[in-house]
Amino acid sequence: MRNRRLRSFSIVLFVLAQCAWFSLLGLFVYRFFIARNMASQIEGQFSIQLDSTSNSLFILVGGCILYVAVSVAMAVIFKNLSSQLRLTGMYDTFIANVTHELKSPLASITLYLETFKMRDVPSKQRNEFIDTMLKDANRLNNLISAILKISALEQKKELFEVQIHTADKIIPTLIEEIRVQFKLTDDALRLQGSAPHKCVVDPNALYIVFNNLVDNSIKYTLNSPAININLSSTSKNILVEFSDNGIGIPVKEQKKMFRKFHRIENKNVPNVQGTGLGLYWVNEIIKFHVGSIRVQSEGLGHGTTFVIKLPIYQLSKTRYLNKMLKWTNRKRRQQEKIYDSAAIESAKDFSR
Amino acid sequence: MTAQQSNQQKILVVEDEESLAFGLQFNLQAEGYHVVCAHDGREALNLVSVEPFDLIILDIMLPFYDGFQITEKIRASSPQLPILMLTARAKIEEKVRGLECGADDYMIKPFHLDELLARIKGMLRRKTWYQKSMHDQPTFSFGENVIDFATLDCQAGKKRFKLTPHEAMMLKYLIERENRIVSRKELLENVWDISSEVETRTVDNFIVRLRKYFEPNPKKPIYIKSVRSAGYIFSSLP
Repeated sequence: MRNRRLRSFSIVLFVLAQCAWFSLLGLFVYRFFIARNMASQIEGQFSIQLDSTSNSLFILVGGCILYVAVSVAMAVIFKNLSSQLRLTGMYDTFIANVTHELKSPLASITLYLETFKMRDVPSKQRNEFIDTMLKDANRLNNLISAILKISALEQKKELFEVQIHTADKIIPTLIEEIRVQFKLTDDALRLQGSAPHKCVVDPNALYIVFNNLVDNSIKYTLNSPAININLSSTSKNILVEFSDNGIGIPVKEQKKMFRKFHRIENKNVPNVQGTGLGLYWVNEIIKFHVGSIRVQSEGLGHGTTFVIKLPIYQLSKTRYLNKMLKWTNRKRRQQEKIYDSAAIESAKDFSR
Repeated sequence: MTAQQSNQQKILVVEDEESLAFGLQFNLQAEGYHVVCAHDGREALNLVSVEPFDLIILDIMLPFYDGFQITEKIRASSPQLPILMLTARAKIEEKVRGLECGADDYMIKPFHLDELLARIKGMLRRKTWYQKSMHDQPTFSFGENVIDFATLDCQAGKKRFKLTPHEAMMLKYLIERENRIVSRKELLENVWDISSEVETRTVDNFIVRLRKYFEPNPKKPIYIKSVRSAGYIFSSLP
């Protein structure tokens, strides 16, 4: 609330500043013409030649350019600042969500440990409690690594290992892994279509993308989930379409969905646990692969479709993809070198 | 068994974290309470509307309705049902908001089991005392004031208003000990739980509020008088 007020205040201030600035520009031009008129009048009266036309024209044009340049710079700074401000607001919601997410499993673990301390728990229940604690510890771990990974991704530290893969092979393999992970039946997760093209991807990163999309579909489906994945291709791109029978997404939220820390606040949407980082991350990974992702939903109650576009290796942006491949290979060689030297070192140690 | 069950106090646990709800249920059952669990706001309100509970343990971040909304809805129909908020939000504003909505107590996750159980015990003890006392004397009048302790409706002269559960409890406690000095400590222990983070100043604030409601001139009280360095004394006949 306070943030919103601050934002509207800074917008008003920015508009006022720009108005003032352009009035100043107007005054500058006005003064220039007045001066010129006066000069020509003086010239007429005293029949002398004032050699100022070329000079003053230079001042007029130069002055105008400088004015506009300052104004553009102001606009750019304002845009950056306001996006920073928006991020701060979202960061607050993120902290609130993460606090809830971190503290709930922690509270659960503490509760069970204190229960053990306070009571004699029957052995059957003891095992059940221990399983629950392990599950909560696992949840904590997942959340913490998700937060750590996102900051690594931010600094492009995430070690993507792109390779050339055939879409028809790698995508079904990944989907199968997802099916096993979420224990989904053939009806709940169905893969159709084909795309017999090569693409340059990191299977681990793509797994994160599919994992997030399927996880969201399951979380936001009130009945039993039915997720359809359709594989197809256009002349330049491989298309992966994810559709579900979930609760859908309000139209006005669709644009904001991929923003960092964004969470949908709607009474009809069940308050599912999350950090607002999943889809942001998905978008970042797809962007890294020179692809794009968009969402389609006719609103609440109509299901959701995510469409992922990945460029076909042979046709699109070959240079960029080749660069990515080279980068991966170089990184691998460096790593091998490190391993080799380490092996030599340890061999030396051993021989001593 | 049935007789024992009918004596058992019934607690509703509203918590969307299944593991936490299960752990709470186990512990509360071990303490001899009858426990019912709800996993979201709608379920909680449905349950409250169909069966009576002695106490509610309420999470704030819940699907459909959050803890604040639930508290407000429950307070509209049953002003005296003790509500204990249990939440991960540690901000002081959240706490104040929870108490303003009508929650009786507030605990921050992760909490200590023994402290939680002690607070529940205290809340239930106060509820039992209040109900017994209300049963013996459902309404009370002094001067121009009439108080209905069941609905918490009050009439002071021409003014009509509703007391909060704590205000009602405090007034009831003073009335029961009419013409006797009641210390702040005694009030804290019996109206609030001593383990709550309420200071003696809170007692004074509540007294100020009660005087504003019922005294003809709150600055010169005739019903609720202060006794220096001892506490307060209530008398219905000035």
